[in-house]
Amino acid sequence: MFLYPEPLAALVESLRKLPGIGPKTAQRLALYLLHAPAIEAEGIAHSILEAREKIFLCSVCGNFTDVDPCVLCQDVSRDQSLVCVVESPRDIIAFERTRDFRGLYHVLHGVLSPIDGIGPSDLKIAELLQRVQGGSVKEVILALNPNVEGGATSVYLSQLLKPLNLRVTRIAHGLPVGGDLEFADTATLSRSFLGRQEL
Amino acid sequence: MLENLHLRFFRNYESLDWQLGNGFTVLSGPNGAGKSNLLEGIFYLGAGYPYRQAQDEALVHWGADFFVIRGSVLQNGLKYDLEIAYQLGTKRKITKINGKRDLPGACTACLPVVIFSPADLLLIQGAPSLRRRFLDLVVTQSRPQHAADLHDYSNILTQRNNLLRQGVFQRAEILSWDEQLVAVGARIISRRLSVFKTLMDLSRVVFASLSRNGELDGAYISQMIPQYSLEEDEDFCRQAFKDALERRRSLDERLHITTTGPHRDDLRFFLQGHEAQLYCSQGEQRLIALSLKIAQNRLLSSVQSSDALLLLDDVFSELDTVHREKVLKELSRSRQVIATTTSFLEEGDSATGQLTPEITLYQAKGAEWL
Ligand SMILES: Nc1ncnc2c1ncn2[C@@H]1O[C@H](COP(=O)(O)OP(=O)(O)OP(=O)(O)O)[C@@H](O)[C@H]1O
Ligand SMILES: [Mg+2]
Ligand SMILES: [Zn+2]
Repeated sequence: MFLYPEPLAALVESLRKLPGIGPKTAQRLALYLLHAPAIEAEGIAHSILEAREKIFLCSVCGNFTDVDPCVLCQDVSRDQSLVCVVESPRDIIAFERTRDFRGLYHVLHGVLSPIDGIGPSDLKIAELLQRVQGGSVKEVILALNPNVEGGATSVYLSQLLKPLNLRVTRIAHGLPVGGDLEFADTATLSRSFLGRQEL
Repeated sequence: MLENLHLRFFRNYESLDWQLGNGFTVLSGPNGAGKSNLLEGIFYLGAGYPYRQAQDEALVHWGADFFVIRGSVLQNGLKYDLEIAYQLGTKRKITKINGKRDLPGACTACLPVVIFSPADLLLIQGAPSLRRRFLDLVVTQSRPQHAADLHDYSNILTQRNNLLRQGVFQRAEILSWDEQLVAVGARIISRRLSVFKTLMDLSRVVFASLSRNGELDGAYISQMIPQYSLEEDEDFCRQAFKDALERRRSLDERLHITTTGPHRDDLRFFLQGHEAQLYCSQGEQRLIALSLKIAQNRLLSSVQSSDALLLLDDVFSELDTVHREKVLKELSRSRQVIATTTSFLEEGDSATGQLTPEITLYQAKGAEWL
């Protein structure tokens, strides 16, 4: 049986670890990288290294950034009393597209999911609690995906936040079941902000 | 109405395309020709599960690693392309309507099916899960949003059981899952109770017309409340489920599993007050099952503007002449019926085609041929 030479096999193995990449796609990508001009392959390697080196999590909101605090957190024109809690940095991009929300964000980096072994301590929940206890935050808006994991995480957070004398709201779910915020169109997201409810 | 059907690697079919007609279609062929498998494919598309006792894996053609069922449906002037695909390795089932991913069970509203087969007896004799999925099918057929709740419920349940299995967690964490479970579960129970009540009202009438052996009754059984006193009011169900979870919390934590909820509920049937599963004769049980199916059909025609697709698999071999005629009269109003038989048909009903080398199609004018 013929096997790929070691360095190529290692590349295929590495690519396979990426989300959404199966063995066939990994092979295709690896062969593409070998066929492509050296400069292109080096460019990709360089971008990965540079991103890894220069991007880190904002110490305030947990979003990816290259300055600390991030540009959103530094923006004094934003309403400092409003914090919108999201699952991932992708959701911030989606909300910023609506231009309706002028408060700050907090990224949990995941949701509760016992099947994946994800519990409260794996999420940026302690950071959130510490942040809202600073006193300037008046309202926390939970904007997690409208699936069962997002729902359970919202309930969990509201149990912790409500005793802190804060307004806790959840965005209205005009979104399809099993839907993801990333795929929701801008109009739907705008409307869901208007319809947010007290928890 | 189902206009065409495509099967790929489903049971004994490697590949099959079939343009269906209106009215009574009869599939005639010898034992083992693949008649029941064909009905099973159609039923699966409309119900999401096989009507005989079988796991999804058993439906994959031997040697293949997936199956696909596709069908075009014309309903109230609208056309829907339905597709269910199942992958053996990953056990993933993908449902699509008009090319778009949808929830499992979403096809139910587009293709309402009722099947009559010898396997109906399992509704009385079989495991509780068979009765639950029958009731959930009937509920989904009249209230399509039930499919979304069933889907969510099973996800929440899996998550909660996983948390219980981990053994260590904060109280706030398990309560978060409980709140979801109760909210969705209460909607499921409440809908089930309301539909089951209607179904039993209809079944009682049907049974009385089929048999003089006494009065049929049915009960929805839940461990949440001993005695049969659940009310269909959603708030009532929510409170009952919440209390039951609380009561069984330490048991659940010990067993690492959720021991109460709609996933544990059951149905029970009674003839003259005696439990059918324990006391009724085989023939009586068959008539009860038949009454439930006819009631399902009546319920569907009252909620849907177009009626259900009826699938009759071998049923009439098991009924006596009197019952046969009553059933046929009942079903003769339906617009699309597909039936199987091993016997050759009378002249007058001429063959309209050959579906496979073994299965001959007949377009029967009425139900008389049976
Ligand atoms: N997964 C599978 N792959 C291939 N063949 C299968 C599979 N499952 C069942 N079969 C075969 O399909 C054949 C047809 O079965 P089916 O139940 O449809 O027959 P039938 O025409 O209804 O016969 P009968 O008149 O006896 O009820 C059987 O011989 C069985 O061995
Ligand atoms: Mg058969
Ligand atoms: Zn920030």
